[in-house]
Amino acid sequence: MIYWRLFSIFFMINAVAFGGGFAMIPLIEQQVVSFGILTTEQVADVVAISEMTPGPFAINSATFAGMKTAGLLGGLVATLGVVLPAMVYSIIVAKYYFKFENNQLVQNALSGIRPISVALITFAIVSLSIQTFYIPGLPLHIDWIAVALAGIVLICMTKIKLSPILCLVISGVLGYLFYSIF
Amino acid sequence: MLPIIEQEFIHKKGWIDEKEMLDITVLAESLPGAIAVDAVVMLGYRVKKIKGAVAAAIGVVLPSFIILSIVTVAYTSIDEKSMIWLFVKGIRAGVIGLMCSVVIKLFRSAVTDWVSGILFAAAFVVALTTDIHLVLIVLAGGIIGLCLGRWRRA
Repeated sequence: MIYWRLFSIFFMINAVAFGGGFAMIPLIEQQVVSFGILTTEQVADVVAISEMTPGPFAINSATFAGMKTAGLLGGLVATLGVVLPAMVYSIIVAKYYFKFENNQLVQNALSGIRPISVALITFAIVSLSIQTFYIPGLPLHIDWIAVALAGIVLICMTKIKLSPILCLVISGVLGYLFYSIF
Repeated sequence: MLPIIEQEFIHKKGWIDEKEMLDITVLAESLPGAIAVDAVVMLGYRVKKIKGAVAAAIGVVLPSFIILSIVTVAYTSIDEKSMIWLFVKGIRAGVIGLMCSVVIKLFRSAVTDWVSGILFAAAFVVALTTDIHLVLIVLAGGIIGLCLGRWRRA
């Protein structure tokens, strides 16, 4: 059943994705794309929408994926899948607050998880890049406009330090111009 | 989001103090799932137990849910042949640049010695070459981290 599938996918992702929204991208990509709920490009769109609207990526991606596949109820169950693990963890932690503080075991586990999360995000970027930059039928099969836009945003973010929203708007406007000219 | 929470909870309402807020921020970042949701649920629980936690969760989810519902309807109605689509295509390419900039930052803070370097490389190769469930790779990282911590102290 589609509602159960939506709920369980987002529940599982949120039960194990350490490191916030970006750590979820590779998991969402593997799970949601493999079940045909979203395409890889649509995952990129959710990232863009999340950067441009307030609110956490986890909620945004669940609402988007759920609504797109199964309407409003789909959005609701997927979002519930995001909130439930967070509630359970947070209430337990808040209850045993002072015992949990500076918990060495948690810190040790996180020291192993952090580099792996970064590796998986890198992996998600690689598969996203292949989807976006590689276009069969074009000369050399590479969408050079897309490569240039990604480069421009990277420079705007790291060197000029513009806000993510501004960077994405710039890349949208430039994309509009370049794609309609060439 | 956290600076606004701080302003409201500490300065306006006086429900918690600065130290508690700092602890909650750190804890939320260590927990899996959405950091904002974790943080406000803990805050809600500190103020009014389970009722507070549930109310906080609803409060943090509802605005995103409403905004995204509208965005999804608008997005689904974009015709792939229309001119707006070129704008979407530009943003899709830009997202890759954005993600690269975030990953560079994360890499610098997470990969600090040769152990974390090896974990990074191993996880990347395994994800790239096998179809293994990514959740298992994350869990493996946690177990390795626990074992290494024990080994370092010994």
